[in-house]
Amino acid sequence: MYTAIEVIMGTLYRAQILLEPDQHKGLGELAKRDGRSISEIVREVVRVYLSDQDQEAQLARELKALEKLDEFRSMIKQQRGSLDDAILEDAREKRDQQLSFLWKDIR
Amino acid sequence: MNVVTDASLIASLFLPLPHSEQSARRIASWKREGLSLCAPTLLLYEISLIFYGAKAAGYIDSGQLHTLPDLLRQIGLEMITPSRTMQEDALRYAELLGQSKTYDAHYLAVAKHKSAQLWTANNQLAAAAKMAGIDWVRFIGDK
Repeated sequence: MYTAIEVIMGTLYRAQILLEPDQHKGLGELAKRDGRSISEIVREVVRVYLSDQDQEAQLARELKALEKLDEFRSMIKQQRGSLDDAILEDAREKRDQQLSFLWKDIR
Repeated sequence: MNVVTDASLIASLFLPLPHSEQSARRIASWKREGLSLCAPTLLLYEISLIFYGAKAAGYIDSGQLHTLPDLLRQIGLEMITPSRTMQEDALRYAELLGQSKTYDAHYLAVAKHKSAQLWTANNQLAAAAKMAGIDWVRFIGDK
């Protein structure tokens, strides 16, 4: 839990956050080891966290879409029965037929 | 990491085709593993033709036909516009596989460009690739 006072500093905002003692100690040690500031590390952590949240939301939307497709497919199967690969072959033939006019006069 | 899918595999998500269940399971599994799906933009034209054919044959109605573009975009399939190199690769693959058309070869070109496997529900394509010594084209019906 934290409170924040935001101050525009160029492209960065100043934010005052409250950390638990262990978190502050750990961050301090990490900063010293890597030669970076605590602010830099916190910004990286926030960036990764936000990106993960975006990816999780995206994944949830995509899995939901796949579920919708399962339902869609089941409905077609119930209404019309299963199909065979002939419908794919038919599409390939139609595709070829549509272009065949290009070379029929050349033959 | 990417996986390239062809129109036959994506069509089997929408229509009850012989390998629909395998396709649906595998795509959900790839998503959970964090793999990204992609295909050449050609897929949009091919899949439209398949859906339109399904409507013409009476398997789906007009309302269902028009829900498909949105559903297709929601599954998170990145469309790749072929570059000059990919087009050249596609021509080479068509020759290598001894194909009379270059459509399938564009999927192989994208897979090569992405260093990815190409998964298909077209057994003939997978068999032709295997015969040509290409081991990264996989048939969805294979275990």
